[in-house]
Amino acid sequence: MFKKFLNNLLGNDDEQQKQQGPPENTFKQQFISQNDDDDEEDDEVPVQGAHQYLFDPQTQHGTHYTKEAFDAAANQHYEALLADQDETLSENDKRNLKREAITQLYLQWNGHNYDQLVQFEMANSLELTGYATQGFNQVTEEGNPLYEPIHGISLYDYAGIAHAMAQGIPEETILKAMGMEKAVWEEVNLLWPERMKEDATFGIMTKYGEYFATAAQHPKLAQLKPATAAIPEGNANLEKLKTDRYFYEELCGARTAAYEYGLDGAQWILENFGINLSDFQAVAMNWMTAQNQQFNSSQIHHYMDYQLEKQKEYAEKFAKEQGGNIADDIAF
Amino acid sequence: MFNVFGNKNAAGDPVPAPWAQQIRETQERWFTFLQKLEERVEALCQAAIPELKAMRNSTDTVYEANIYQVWSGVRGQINQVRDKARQTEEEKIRPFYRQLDHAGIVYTVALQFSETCSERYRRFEDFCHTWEGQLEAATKQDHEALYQKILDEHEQIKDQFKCQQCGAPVPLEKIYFTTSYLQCPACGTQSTYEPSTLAKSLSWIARSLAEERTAHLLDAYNKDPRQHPDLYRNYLRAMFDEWNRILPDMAASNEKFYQRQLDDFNNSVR
Repeated sequence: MFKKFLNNLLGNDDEQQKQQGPPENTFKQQFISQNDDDDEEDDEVPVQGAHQYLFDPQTQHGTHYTKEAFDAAANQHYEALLADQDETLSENDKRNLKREAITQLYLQWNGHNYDQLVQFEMANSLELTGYATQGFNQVTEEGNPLYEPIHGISLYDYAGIAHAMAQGIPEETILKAMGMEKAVWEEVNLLWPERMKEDATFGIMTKYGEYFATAAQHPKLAQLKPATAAIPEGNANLEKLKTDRYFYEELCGARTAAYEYGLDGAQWILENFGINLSDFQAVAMNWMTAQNQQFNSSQIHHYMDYQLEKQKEYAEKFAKEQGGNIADDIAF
Repeated sequence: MFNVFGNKNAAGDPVPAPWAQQIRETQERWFTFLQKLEERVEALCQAAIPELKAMRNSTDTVYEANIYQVWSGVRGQINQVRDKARQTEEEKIRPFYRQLDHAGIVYTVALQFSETCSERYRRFEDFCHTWEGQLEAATKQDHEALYQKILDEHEQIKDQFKCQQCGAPVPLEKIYFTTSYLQCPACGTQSTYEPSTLAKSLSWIARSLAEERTAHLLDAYNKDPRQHPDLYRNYLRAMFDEWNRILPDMAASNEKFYQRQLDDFNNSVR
């Protein structure tokens, strides 16, 4: 009964139909460049939240109080909560209680704006949870032995090499551009992940993600080009992916649907849109960072709903191509 | 007069016959519908599992993309079936329950209908989940068998590598899993030795193998009524010791990871 379906999965060599053009959208969100020098000045200007308060762009504390005053009040609140506990707490329990004290106070002092609270929690996640969050400059590399280059290969270099390999550039070409031998590379490729395992804050992984997002500009690797895009519109589609949030969400949905129908989703995107996985993921990192830095829950839900809607559309398309889903004939 | 389900409302009124019939029919349709979906999921998985096992057994490659693609496709279909059940529950069962409520049908009868249908739906979800587990199990690699292949290969080739300069034998003193420079004992030249794909997979499977070999210790911790922390610490040390035994070259690095895992665990202990 499932022979045709399983044959499709096991020996899938069907040609994919070309993707239709994306629909018009009425709302465009500008892609925020992480390398724009003008942003350095903006980092010093307080940001206005949905409420009338202004917020320090680095700490996300309200500018109507000092951090010292907040920390003192938060400690006092935490001590009161701690005194109320009637059972022994683990170190994690105490950290969670401290976080609870801080977030309760933050809401009280900043107009009970929950989106602003999320932004605050992300900006201060290292202190509140012990884990770093992408896009908030929480990692200090200098002087930190975890970030020491391995055989001369920095974390940025490592992300650049990974990006180039995922683009499909031959390993030999990449290693030649980096001036590195294969044996050295294999050890580097073993030891950087080991450093990530050692880092309890996930700072290295976070920083790696940030570097991956800009890896296409690595000075030694930027001139290496992947094979020509599968379709002529590949470069134009990649540029669109960086600026058109709806297009980005549509392709995310399409890729998910492709995997759910037994296709290689990344390959399907390459064949139909000319965008390789490496470039796609670099853009994804940037969208995620921008979303973190301008957290807005209703926008997030809006884009999630849109992606799900597109995923369903593509699922119907793939289902039709394979002759339907296995239970289409079963009705209530 | 019509004592449907043997229940009556506070005033003693029976459920009107047309409603009683509708309740019975809707429930039966729901049960039949879910049973048909279950039969379809079962048939799909019974066809797919042998194929997945055959694919798994045909390769030593640890991350074989085709296996995961097929697995993903089959899971995708199970998700489609579950979505169908969920949508039907939202569009047909719950609204009917609300109709009963609005029609003033005795509360206990309406509640019984709702709970009976919900319980059947939970069993359907459990059924799908069980098959998903079996699908996943079919994709799992036999790490012990693969490790034995690696050991056997090493036994065969350990005296076969020759110096690239003078041709003298360069014995492989251990299992190399990365490209390495080996010094010729005869002429001193460094030759590049590239391990086979099989040997390279040792670093990928070592942890999983160590975890499998010490799973009984983790089990002892999980099953202990008080989950005594020392039982977990005992498991963690044993797992890392086994990991280091399989892959001694990574022992120094593993110890740092062990310390981090131990610290994480200790921070969670009250």
